[in-house]
Amino acid sequence: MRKNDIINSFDSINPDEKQIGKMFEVISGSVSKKRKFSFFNESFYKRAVPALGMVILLVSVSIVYMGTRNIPGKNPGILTSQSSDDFATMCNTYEFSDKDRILIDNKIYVRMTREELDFYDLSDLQISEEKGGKIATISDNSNEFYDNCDVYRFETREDTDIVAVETSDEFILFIFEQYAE
Amino acid sequence: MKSSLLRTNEELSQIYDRHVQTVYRVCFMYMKNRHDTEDMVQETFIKLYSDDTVFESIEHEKAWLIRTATNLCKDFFRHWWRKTVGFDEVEEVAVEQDLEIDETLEKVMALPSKYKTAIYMYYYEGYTTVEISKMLNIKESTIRSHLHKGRKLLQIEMEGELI
Repeated sequence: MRKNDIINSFDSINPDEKQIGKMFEVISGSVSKKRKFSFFNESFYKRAVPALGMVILLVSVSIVYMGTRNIPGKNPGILTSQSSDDFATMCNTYEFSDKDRILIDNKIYVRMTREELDFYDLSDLQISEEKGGKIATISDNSNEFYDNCDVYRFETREDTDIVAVETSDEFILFIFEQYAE
Repeated sequence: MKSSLLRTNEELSQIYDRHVQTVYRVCFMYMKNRHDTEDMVQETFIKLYSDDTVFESIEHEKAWLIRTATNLCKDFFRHWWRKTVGFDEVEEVAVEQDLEIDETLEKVMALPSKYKTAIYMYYYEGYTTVEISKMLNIKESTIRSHLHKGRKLLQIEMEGELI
């Protein structure tokens, strides 16, 4: 009997219909706000993070791929220089009017004469010690003498564009002549 | 039973319809007035929305709601309490008169919360002491002690009448 009294008394604690509806309205409103926030928190980032990861992966792969294309020997026609500011896309030699010429990256260089070397005061220089970074390897030429010779930037005369070709026993200097058409 | 991190409005509505009365009673026992009780009921269901518990049954669902409502009400007093009045004063706050409150309920409501909760869950909800212990994360012996003391206090208040 007393137990039933307690049960009956708890039964009297009841929200009315109006209260039930009002509380649910507040809950729904709050849940809607949280749901919007959750979209950005979860759905948005769940989509955005993998997409961003894919972009980073693709960019990384592209960079690595571009880098491997420029390894000397892998693609003889396209060569990177040892110094970072040059990029030789072509390097070959030819003979014209009894003068040796080389074509590097659309620029034609002509072999310096004895007079030119004297003029630039280069005759006594130790070229091997003063040469700059390697810019190319001659891979396609009409004169076998220059086959696979490395070409270096020659920076001793800053105002003059000179390159040094390393043959089997000496360095030969070439001076900028003109741009190839 | 389906449950997810983002429960749908339909799921939430169904759970609300099933258990709003129980949650309201649990909260009212602590809050003792309609306004604060409504706030706690709302908090409980809002918490349910973002909780990722997968309920195995309706009973499991109900147990989760009772535990959560109890904890939220206790937290409310823990925080609010220190800033305003002491615990004993809150225990003595009169039950709101807009509810029809009989003498028995008035005496039950006057019990300290821990005894009141044990009495409610044991006698009204029909849980065993083991179940109450698991639900409230309190030792079974403590629950038995709360029931014993609650019964004793009610017997005294009821001038020796047995329950």
